[in-house]
Amino acid sequence: MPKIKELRDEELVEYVRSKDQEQYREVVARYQEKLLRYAERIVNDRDAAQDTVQQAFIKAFANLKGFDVSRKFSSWIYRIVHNEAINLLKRGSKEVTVNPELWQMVSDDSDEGFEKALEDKERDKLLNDCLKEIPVIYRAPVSLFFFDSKSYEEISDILRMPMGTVGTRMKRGKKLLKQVYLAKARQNPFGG
Amino acid sequence: MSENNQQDITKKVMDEIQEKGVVMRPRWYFIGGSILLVVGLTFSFVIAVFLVNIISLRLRIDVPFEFLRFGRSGLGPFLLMLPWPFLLVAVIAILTGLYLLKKYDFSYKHNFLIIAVITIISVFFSGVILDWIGTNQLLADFRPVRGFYREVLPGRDWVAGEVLEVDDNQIRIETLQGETVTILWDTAIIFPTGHVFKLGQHVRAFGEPKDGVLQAKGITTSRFLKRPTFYPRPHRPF
Repeated sequence: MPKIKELRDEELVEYVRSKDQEQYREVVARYQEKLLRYAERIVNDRDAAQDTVQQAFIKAFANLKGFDVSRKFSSWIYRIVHNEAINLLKRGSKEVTVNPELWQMVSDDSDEGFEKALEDKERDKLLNDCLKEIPVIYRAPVSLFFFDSKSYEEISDILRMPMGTVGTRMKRGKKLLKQVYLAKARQNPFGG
Repeated sequence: MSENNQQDITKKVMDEIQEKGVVMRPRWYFIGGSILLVVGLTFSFVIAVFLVNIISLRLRIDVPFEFLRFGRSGLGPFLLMLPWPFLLVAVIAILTGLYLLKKYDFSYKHNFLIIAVITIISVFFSGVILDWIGTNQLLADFRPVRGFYREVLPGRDWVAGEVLEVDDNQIRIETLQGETVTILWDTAIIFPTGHVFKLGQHVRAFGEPKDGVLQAKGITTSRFLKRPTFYPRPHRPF
């Protein structure tokens, strides 16, 4: 028996589907945290995110033999979670609506503060807060890029869109983030 | 995330798999799906190309815009002569093909609009070329589709051929299929190229088939008679 922990994702999947299905536990363990955070950023609800990830793992298990091991498993499983999350948003209309007052305050002022904020330690918290305010079509690629360290090519595989579109949405998403950040900074100039 | 939460999700997933008896779909399920996808895609585009080929043939036979020679103008007559059912099925086949094409990975790696435009242009030119290289002449004698050609292509209210006899208010012609057809007319007829016909002249007549003859609404000498080279045999002789 190989050392399960040392197997690459794709090797582990091959092992699970051909030898020991019980080791699917290891697949879930490897991805649950990342996927749960991603789902939460998309659906903006922890419980809903948990259900989404669980259902995605069940679906992935049922379709595991359809996965092409020459591809990247992480893109495949992220894709399933993304679809589940989007379906949930469509079913329950849980898409966040942008605060109109916030948008009124949006401007194209200096982005020095934003750029600085992206670099400092507060980046994750700041992004998380601002991310909730932007539409999901931008939120997904920006989230995958900043939080999950996915490349444009991986984002293209997960969201099934051309690299050019990923680039466009990233650019637009970052701009929206900046605008939301600036608006929030104006609402609360003393931080917090 | 805490250790407990992680264990909780793993446990929930593994428990649900066991309790609900979730099983992995067999490999053949996915292979079968891939095969069906290829078959569906091929079938859609073959149908689309074939129908574009038929539309091309039909437009060559019906001679687009010839209605203008009979004094009719506007878009109406042209729209009337378009083979709408073929067009509709061809469009549905192309849309189905494009939908299936979207299932392939390469379709999202490139701009799908460009893929769709290239596909539609390819289908269009393939169909037209298929017609022009004479595929329909071969297919018309091919037993499985022979009936289709006899039933669907003719039936328009026109006939063309060489003048055999000329009489008062009627002529007899021999069609390219070797059939003899009598063409009658009354005062409501239109003669765009004149009303004097000579033996051996090529004519084209439009009207209503009635009692074994064509009651003509218009007769014209035809310089298109030899195009196309293929005329399907009418299913209902005049």
